[in-house]
Amino acid sequence: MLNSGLLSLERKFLSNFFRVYSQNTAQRPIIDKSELDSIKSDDLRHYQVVEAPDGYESNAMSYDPRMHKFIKILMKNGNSYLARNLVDKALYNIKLKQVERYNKTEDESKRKEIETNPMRIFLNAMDNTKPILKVIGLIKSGISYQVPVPMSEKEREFKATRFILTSSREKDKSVRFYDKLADELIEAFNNQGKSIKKKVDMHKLAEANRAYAHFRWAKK
Amino acid sequence: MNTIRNIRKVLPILSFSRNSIARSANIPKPNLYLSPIQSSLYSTDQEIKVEIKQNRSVPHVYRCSVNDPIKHNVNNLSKFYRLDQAELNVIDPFQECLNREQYAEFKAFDETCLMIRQPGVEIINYLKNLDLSLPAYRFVLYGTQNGTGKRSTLLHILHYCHKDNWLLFHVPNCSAVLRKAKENQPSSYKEGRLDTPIDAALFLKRFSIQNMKLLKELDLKTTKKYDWSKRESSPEGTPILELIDYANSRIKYSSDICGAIVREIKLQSESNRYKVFVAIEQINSYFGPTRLKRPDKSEINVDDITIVRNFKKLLKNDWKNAAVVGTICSRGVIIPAPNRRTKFYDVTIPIANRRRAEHTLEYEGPLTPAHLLKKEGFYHLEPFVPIEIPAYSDLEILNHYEYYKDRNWLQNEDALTDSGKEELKFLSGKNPREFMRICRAI
Amino acid sequence: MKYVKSSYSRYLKKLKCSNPNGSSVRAPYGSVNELITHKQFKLVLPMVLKDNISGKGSNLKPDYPCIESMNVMINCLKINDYNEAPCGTEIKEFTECFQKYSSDVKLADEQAKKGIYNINENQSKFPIKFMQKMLKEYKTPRKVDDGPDLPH
Repeated sequence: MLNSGLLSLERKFLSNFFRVYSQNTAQRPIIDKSELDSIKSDDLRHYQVVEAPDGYESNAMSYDPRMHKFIKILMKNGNSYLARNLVDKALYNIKLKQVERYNKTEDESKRKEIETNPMRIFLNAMDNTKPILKVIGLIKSGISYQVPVPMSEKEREFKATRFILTSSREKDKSVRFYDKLADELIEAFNNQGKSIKKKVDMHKLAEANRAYAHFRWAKK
Repeated sequence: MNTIRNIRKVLPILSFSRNSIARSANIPKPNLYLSPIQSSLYSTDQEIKVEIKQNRSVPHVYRCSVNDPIKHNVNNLSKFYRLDQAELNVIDPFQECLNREQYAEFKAFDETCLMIRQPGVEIINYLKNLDLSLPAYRFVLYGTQNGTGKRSTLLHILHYCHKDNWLLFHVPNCSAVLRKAKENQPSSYKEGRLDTPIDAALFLKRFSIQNMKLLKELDLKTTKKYDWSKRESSPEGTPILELIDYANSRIKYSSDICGAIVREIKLQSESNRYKVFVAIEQINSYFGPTRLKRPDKSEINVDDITIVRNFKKLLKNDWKNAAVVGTICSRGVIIPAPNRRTKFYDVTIPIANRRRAEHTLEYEGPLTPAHLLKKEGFYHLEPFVPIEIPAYSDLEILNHYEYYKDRNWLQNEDALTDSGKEELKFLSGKNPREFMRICRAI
Repeated sequence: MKYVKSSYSRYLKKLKCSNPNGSSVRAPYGSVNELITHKQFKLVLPMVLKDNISGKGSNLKPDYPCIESMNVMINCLKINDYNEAPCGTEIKEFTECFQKYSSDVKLADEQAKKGIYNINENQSKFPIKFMQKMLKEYKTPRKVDDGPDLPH
């Protein structure tokens, strides 16, 4: 009895150890610099408890939360240094290609059409590959149906990263991953390529099974 | 309260120009503790600030209009000048002078630009005023940290020498031969020596491309009969260009032909018909261990590799009409791995079997000539002129930043602001290579 | 789930144990009537309904959120060969609809934890949590009037 009591005490202590702030009162910190500057001196948030930011969050210009999530999904065996490097090299490759195109064109009007920001290319490519519907298996009265359902924003983002990563991993051994990733991102930015095709296939499947759409909400 | 009134009375009287009187209305109210003299300074301060802003609106000059390195002075310092692509193809035909990333940037910018820096101009000035009748001059380029631009200054000097009709003798990346030669075989000339034929052939090709014009003018001929083997030999009076062609067809003898060319050039320099510029990178590797080994897997001394033995002769000052510029670098240093248990360097393991452990070992000692060249190298080169290549100054890093902006290389919107500029400056620590590395993904 | 014996079953067991012969109910010595006559039924606990219900089968009708806008969107995609650029408005409508629905559900759940339910007056069937709460609030009376004495 004594032993078990101690254990429970320990558990309580540990749970407090990892999360110091109480859930209701503490605020998440503001990471964006422009948002920080906009806070006035008489704002109430100055006098409230604020959590410390996580280790990866920073004010640096290279930090982007969506990009950070992408890197963490790419990572294998906890080697986030490598994953970060691969994405950086891919961005560098994109920039080399686009800036070369930019500097070689002499018309000012044509120049403005070329997108040279690798970050913007990455984010737009992610937006283009986001699927809207997915299909789930559902068994009703012994027959299995494939029912199209909508997804949450988080899941859509995750599916998009999956499409881009799997399509850039389908390659020869001689081709480097970051080269392929750069190509794939540029293609997805222009609404072409393997990852876009995967998304369209998903939509087609949903279209074929749209008669069962109301099954999802029915009683089991 | 009286003090404030007094200050307000005094303010317009102390200010000198009409503008400042008009502006004094806009000045925030001075503190109670300000003396009248201080408050007058307050108004003049604002005038100065306005002037600075006007100066900033004028476009900042980061490009040099003079593209000929012969005409470069102290006035053109820390500005970018443009290299002609055709000339660059002659100076470094295989793109070995700089980093791979730098060539990629040149391709993306659609032009090749280098910064004119103080040590480069200094050496060019020395070369202009040399007394060539004296023994060969030796310069050693070094930096207290890596990535400060030793190779790019060397390229600048090479460009000058190419324009000024020097005979170029350029060996980039010579430590690579000692670390990972593409092919090696025992020498046919003397027993116990090692040939590296492919690397030697590559050098001969580079040498011929760099100096094709000059060699045709001079029409140098050999002064001796050279025996390559029992059957094959080239007689006295064969032109050097023909020798190089011979090496192309018989790659086996290319490292011996290198030696022959070195000997001929050194001998015939006394005729005062030409001047030789020797540029060797990472010369400290010529005085250290190698990873190469003989076919019977025994250790080998650096001097027993034919190419190194011949090129080392160029570093001596027993000839004239020549200048030598060498760089020293930690990359040329081969470091044995420590023992796993004791964490000490195991001396008993032969050098050929020692390997650098992953992620663990880099040369951490000081990068000065005394430490990198060691005793042997130091006495081999003495007397020489050591020239330090420092990290960027404030103006230089600003010019580099402006140049990147002009070529549309900086894409992040935060990087284009003043605070972004400060951030880049701080992160790079004004180190050129680090600055380029940070700007890659931004 | 843990099975707790109700007081009534405990009472029945008592009946069995109080068999004077000591034999179990599975092998009764006489008919059922005999047993009852031997030991009359005695009300120990008040016979009232429980204050909770099992939420296994909810009779609430399912609502079909965003199915119309989904159909419109799929039609648009099919006509334009799965190109998303021309049907931006349809996609936006659908995603916003779903977002609103999911946020509503979330909000309702959160409020249910606090004890707030949004229920119309005309509603005839209610969500289970609401029912549970109401049953707990308005309990069936435990105190029963003393009825006529039962014969022994």
